[in-house]
Amino acid sequence: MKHFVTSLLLGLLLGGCGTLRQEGQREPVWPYPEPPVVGDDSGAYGDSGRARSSSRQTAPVESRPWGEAEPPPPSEPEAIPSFSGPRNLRDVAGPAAIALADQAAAQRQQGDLQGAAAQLERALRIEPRNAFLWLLLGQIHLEQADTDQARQMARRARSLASSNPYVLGPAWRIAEAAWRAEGNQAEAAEATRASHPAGAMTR
Amino acid sequence: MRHRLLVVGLVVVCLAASALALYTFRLDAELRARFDGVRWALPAQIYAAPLELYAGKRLGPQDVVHELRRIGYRTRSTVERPGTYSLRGDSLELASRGFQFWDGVEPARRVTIGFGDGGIRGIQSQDGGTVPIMRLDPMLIGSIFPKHGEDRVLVRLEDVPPLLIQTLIAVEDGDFYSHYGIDWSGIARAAWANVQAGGVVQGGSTITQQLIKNFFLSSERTWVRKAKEALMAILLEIHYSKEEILEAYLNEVYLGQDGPRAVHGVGLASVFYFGKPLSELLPEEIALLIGIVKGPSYYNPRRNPERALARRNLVINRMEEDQLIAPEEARQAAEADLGVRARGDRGTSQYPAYVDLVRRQLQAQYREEDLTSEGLRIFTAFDPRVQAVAEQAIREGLDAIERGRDIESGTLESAAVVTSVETGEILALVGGRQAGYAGFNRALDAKRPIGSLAKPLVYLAALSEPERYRLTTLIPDAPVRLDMPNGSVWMPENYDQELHGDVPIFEALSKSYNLATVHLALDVGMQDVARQYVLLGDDTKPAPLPSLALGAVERSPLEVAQLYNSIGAGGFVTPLQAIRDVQDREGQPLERFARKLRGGPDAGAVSLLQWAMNRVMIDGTARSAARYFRSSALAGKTGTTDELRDSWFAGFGSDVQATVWVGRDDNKPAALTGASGALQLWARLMASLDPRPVDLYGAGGAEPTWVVPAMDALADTECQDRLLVPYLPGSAPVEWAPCARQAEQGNGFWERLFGS
Repeated sequence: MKHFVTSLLLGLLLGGCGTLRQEGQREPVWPYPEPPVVGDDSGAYGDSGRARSSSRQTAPVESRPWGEAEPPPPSEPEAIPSFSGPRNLRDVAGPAAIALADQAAAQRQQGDLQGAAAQLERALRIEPRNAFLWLLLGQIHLEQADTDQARQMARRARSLASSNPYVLGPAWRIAEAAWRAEGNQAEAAEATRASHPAGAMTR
Repeated sequence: MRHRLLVVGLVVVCLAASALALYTFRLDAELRARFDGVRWALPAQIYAAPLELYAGKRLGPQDVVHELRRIGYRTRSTVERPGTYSLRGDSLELASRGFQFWDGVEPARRVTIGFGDGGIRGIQSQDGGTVPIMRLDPMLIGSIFPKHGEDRVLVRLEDVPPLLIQTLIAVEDGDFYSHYGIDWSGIARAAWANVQAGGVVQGGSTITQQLIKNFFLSSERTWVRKAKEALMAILLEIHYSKEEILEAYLNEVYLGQDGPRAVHGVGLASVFYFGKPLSELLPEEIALLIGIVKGPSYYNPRRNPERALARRNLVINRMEEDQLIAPEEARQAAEADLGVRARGDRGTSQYPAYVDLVRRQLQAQYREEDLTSEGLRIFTAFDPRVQAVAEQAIREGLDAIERGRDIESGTLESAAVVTSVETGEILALVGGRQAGYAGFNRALDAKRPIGSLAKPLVYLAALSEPERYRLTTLIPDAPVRLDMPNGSVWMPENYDQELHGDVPIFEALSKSYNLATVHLALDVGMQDVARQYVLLGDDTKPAPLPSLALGAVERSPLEVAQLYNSIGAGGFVTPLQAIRDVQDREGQPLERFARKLRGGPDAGAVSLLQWAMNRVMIDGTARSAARYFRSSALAGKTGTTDELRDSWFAGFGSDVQATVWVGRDDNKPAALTGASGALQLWARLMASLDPRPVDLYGAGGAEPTWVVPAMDALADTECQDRLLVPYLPGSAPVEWAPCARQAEQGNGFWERLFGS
């Protein structure tokens, strides 16, 4: 019985005094974090609309890993006309690694260097011995001002290059830029010498 | 007078009303604070690596289906809803769930995956385009909850089976959708019962009230508490929608006790009792869960199965009465077993050893309370497939060894660490024979002498000086007698107690000769040997004592895995890591553990060492494992310690490394060598992973050369015992063996330049 009275009283209070419920001041939803799943049943299938080139097969062959913001190009293809091996990522990578590298390029362009690095690490899990992927990751580290890791990635790329000047040249130029950023001119000069195609092949 | 009385009465009523309003206001604040507080009690959630799907991936349709089932995908004839698939021959139709990864959103997709001989042939999206790569949502492998705390697997309302919600409401609170927090008719009924009994015996609580009770109040049954509960229930209904209250209830309701861990919420209870996600529960399992709500201890299905069964069938009856299930379905459900899995086998933390590793790696960066309450989302490199293979290899391998060698069943223990050579990521970790049990994590905490696993580091130190040593340099396998600083004399012996004379370096390693190794280590210098540990990524440099050459140094399996992974990676040292990245509770990126490379030993020397470790597999101490593998180009080393206490094997292909230890927890002799114990488990494990071959001759600039190893001299086709051995430039032998044709034409510098 007391139950009832109390509840009635409360009901009157809440209804009559109107101090508690304020319209438009409803609490936010139950604050569990949104689970990561997206898309649900809403038919959000298909591509995310992310920047990805669909004309992959016909993409122009570039001789440099990224189109821009790169250490100065050396006297490239014409300097080593006899070379018949892979000259860039697209010559050797499978479609999965290329798609991830493209995504990395897009994220890098948006200034998301961390995201770009994450995509390249994904690609490296698929093709761990692709020297071009290591070069790209080294370039990202360079742009993140992580000079030590930039040099390490370049070193890894060199170890997989088997005297490919299109790997060795950029690898030494990454090392050179890393040394220069650290103010070590002597080592930078050493790397410059090594980055010369003729030097690169004997190094 | 009457007027004054009225005024006084009004004042009193208004004062009382104000006091109650004030009290209500305070309760309201408390209520909201508690609801906000709930935010802060979320254990960190740990995810496995997502499965990447792309053309060329070496996975068959059954492998992919197996992975899909692991993360709760279900087979359907029409594949529309995310989380469903359909396999027809070599073609897998799949509707994937989307997922917010650290590096971006993976959209939900509908695709068709085609399989060929080598694995995935291609992935087509619904609109006919090619999908170059996609990843599935990752499996949740565990959470980090406080030692004496609550754990949860959070569920969203839309992920809860409708039958569960309908049954809950039917059983616990029939008027849930219409009442305002308290149920008058229920209260009336309860009040009548209470009056009759002369005290509070019946609750008549709504779901809202039960939630309040779970949140705030003790279970003490007093009128004051009931009143407070009722008031708060009304307040809760004002602030939150029915759906929000229901979702909170489903995540909060107490459903059992797992040792120190309170099992809250239907998501966790589903895993705790049935070992599967909520979405996959059968009607009888739903009935049991809802039945338990009334008294998780009284109706504990493990301790009181009869009571639980009766209660469950009562709920099933109710389901049928309310036409939630068909009579036929109800009959089947009532006949089914309780279906509760045995306690302990596969807790909610299905992989306690790996979760333990993750927790320890995080403790360096996060405070304990952040890990247990901030709801962090931790993404790891954990590979469920590799873990399953490793657990199976250990389970079956130990059983086979115990049977085959007449060892008392169950006395052997083991641990294993599997890493990705190129990335340094820890793919799987087995902490003991019963991998599902949390307990002594041998992979991390069993620090044992490593025995002959230490030898490759001696040889690496030597081969790093190519002007002094090459793979065929002859070293004496002769007695050793050393006076130790403490006055004792150290006289090690070979395992076979024989002397083998002068042997090539690589053979001393592949046959694991102790005496030759000690001679070499002393010749190279113990400081140089000790330095190899640091170069290969070990945190602590061992003391440079002669016994280090034979492995008188204690390391855990994980620490050994670091050394061997670095050797497998050709001297590029990546500190082993389990964690890839961390998100906050909202899915925003917090931290990424970028892959790091360190300068290690000389790549050329490491490639020679790999070649020598391949000889271990071909005609050395591990040759018995050859039959397991397609490729003969794997590399590894056996390890055995004094009196056969520890049996080790560590080895790798070019893509994956595994370290296995076998021994006893009481440190008594296990009566196993590295070859008869750990190697057998390692071979089973690695054979299932089908590792890629090691590059035996091309790496590190080494040049393969035909030689007669026993003579450390050049060979040609005339020589019977010739072998192709790699040498660093300028370090190959220059003399011809007597068997070679060129030998007759002289061995001088002039003749060699001149040629034949």
